[in-house]
Parts: sequence; structure tokens; C-alpha cells
Amino acid sequence: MTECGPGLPEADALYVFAVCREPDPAVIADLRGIATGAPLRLLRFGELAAIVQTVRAADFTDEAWQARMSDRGELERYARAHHHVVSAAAASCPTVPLPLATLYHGEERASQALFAETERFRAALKRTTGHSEWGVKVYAGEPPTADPEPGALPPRVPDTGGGRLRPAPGAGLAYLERKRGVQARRERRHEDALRSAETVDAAFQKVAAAGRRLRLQPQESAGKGRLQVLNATYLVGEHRSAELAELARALRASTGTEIEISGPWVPYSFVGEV
Amino acid sequence: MTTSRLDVDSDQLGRDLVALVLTVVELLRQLMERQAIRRIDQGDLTDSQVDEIGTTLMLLDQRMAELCEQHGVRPEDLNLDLGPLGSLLPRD
Amino acid sequence: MEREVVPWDNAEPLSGPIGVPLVDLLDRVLATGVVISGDLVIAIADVPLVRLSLHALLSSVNERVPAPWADGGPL
Repeated sequence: MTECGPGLPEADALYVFAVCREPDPAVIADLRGIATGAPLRLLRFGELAAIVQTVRAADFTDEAWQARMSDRGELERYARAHHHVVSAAAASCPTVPLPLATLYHGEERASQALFAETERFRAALKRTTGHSEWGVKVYAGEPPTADPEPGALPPRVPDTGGGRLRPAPGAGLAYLERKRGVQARRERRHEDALRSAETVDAAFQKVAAAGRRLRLQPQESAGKGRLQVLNATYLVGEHRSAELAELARALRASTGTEIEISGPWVPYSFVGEV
Repeated sequence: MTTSRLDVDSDQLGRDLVALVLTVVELLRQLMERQAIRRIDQGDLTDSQVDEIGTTLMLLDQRMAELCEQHGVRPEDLNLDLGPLGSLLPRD
Repeated sequence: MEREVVPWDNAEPLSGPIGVPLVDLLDRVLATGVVISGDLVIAIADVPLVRLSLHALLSSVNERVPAPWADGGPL
């Protein structure tokens, strides 16, 4: 990763959480932010203001982040700390959340870079004001597609030569037939799952101003006995968010899937170029 | 690359290595099985060929089960989490 | 829905394991659409996680456990 600018070990960097229009400084005054030591403050540029915090550059290098990313505890700490600030800001004014780890080598650099993006921030604010983000996760139950006889021993007959037992004729064919059945069931199940995902996505897209499909989450978080088939997120106007619960209920009934709704979220997923 | 994070005892490391190797073998076994089924569906194998291939795959399946048991690895452990790419072997 | 109550007014405490599920949070704070590029970190994506965990496993094997292959193999 490129690191330009001063490389002094004691150098400070500026961590940027979010960009707002006329934020209330009182809202961020008592927050801890992403690191202890420095207070959160506002960095104004044009008619917008960024919520920033001075941090030690050495703690926020690419290497530091890579180490952090492989430690779930650390990653969680930083993600929640970041989100805490973003949520607090969004509670008081229209806010464009920035992703984790946006840092600059100083206020001047930050002001310059942020100012250059003013149009993007304006567009994001325009798009998301009066809307929230809602997550929709769809799970298919797990009917048994597994092998009905895993590890079953085949019928054996004595070997003509050395007296060992070898599988009876036809055993190989039976084995493959069984496996083929398992595979066919698995494929059918995948097709059904995809179809359900499409149905749910299409339905929510109708209610939303925008929608995005996110990468499916790791199996561990889905739990035993079910498979995630859709992880999507939608930008929904405030006036329509009341419809979501009923829509989910109807879709659960019609597709036979489990549907989990999360939100409202600060619209992280809808401030980039979507 | 900091190795201080890797705070595992060598027993566990040995098991992890075995699990990794067996995962690769299991991947190959599944691929071969899939290929065999595809050939059957295409109809270009004789019955005795199918039986022979099936027998080999069946014995291989058994051998895998034995290897897992020998090394204290559960069949469910044979997988590799590729993060954003999902898991190497199908989970269902 | 009351207009005055802002939807996200229950910002959870820093140390709380309850509240927003981590997987859902990570889906959102690890940007897939980075708005702007910073100086120190251009973008955080979780693809490095794959590289990192494979690397960790392979290099740990290299240093701590003799590889089963004689010539040092792919490591």
C-alpha cells in the first residue's frame, strides 16, 4: 500500500468517520471514537463538515489493519467504535457514513481531499435524506439432501485370488446411482433457493428507492440447518418503511423461506457509486 | 508477517495440516464423483465400466472415512473457508 | 412512525456484544464502494483475510512442522 507524506514514527493522522451537513458539535463531544486520547471534532469544508479524530499514524497503517483484520476481537472493537460515532452523528443530522479506515496525513490534506469530493457528498446526502437502509436476509431450510447411507459398507464377495473380500458386482453401480440422487436433490434445492432469492429481491426492490445484493455471509452465522440464499440491502423512504414487515410476512408464506429484516441502518451501502 | 499470532500447539498444527491435506483429497474425490455421474448421464459408458468406476469411487469414499477416523478429523472439518469466496466444498 | 424519533437513535455501547450483529455491521463498514481514498489505507477489503489466513497456515507449517514433502514443496 502506498504511504506518502511524513513517515515519522510519532506522526499523527486524521481519522474521518462521516460527513454531515451542519452537525451539532455537542453530539460528538463525549464520544470516545476510534482511539483514546484525542477528542472528536468537526472539520469544515465548504458547507459540509467531517467528523474527525486525531490518531497515531503508526496504529493505522496498512500493516496495522491487516493484523487487525485477522483478529476478530480487534476487528469487532474497531467496527463498533466506528459505527457508534456514525450512528450518533446520523441521529442528529443528515450524514454520509464513511467506511472503516479513511485516514489522512493531517487536516490540510483531509480538507483538500474532502473538499474535492463535495459533489459526491452532496449527491449522497440528497439521495439518502429521508431514507434508511434495511437489510434483508433470506434462508432456506435444510431438507435432507445428504447421503442417506453415508459410509455404508457394500456387500462383499470373496476375491478369486488372495482370499480378501471385494465389493459384489453391481455395488459400484448402486453407489453411483445413490450419489447421483443426492446430487440431483442438492441441485434442485439450489435452484429453489435461487428462485426464492429472486422473488424476495424483486419484491423489496419495488418498495425501495434502491437495492443492492451483498456477498452471502459465512455459513457459521446462518447456523445449523439452514442456508443463506440472499443477503440484500435496500434504501427505503421513511414513508414506506412500515410496509416492510408485512411484505416480509407475505413472502415468508409464499416462498417457505426464513426472512430476517435488520434496520434501520445509517445508509452505508448507498453512498458509493451504486 | 507476524507469527506471534499463531499460538497453537504442535499437535493442533499437525491436525490442521492433516485436515488440509485430507480436504484436498476430498475435493478431488468429489470432483471425480461428479465427473463420473456426468459421464453416466451422457450415456457413453458401458454398465461394467460404470460399475468399475463406481466401485473405485466407493472404496475411495471408505478410505477417506478411515483416514478421517485415524487422524481424529471429522468429515465436517474437511473444508476450507476462503472468506469472500465462500467455502471450498459444498456445505449441505 | 413518529417523525421526531430518529430511526437509529439506539447507538449501542462500544463494548456491547448485543445490539447490531457483527456480520451485518461488517457487511456495511468494510466498504465495497469506497467513497473517497485516504492517504494511509486506500481501501479495506476482506480479500486480504483470505491471503492472510492461508499465509498464516502455510508459513506456520514451514517454520514449526516439517512439511511432508522433502524438497520444501510449494511453501
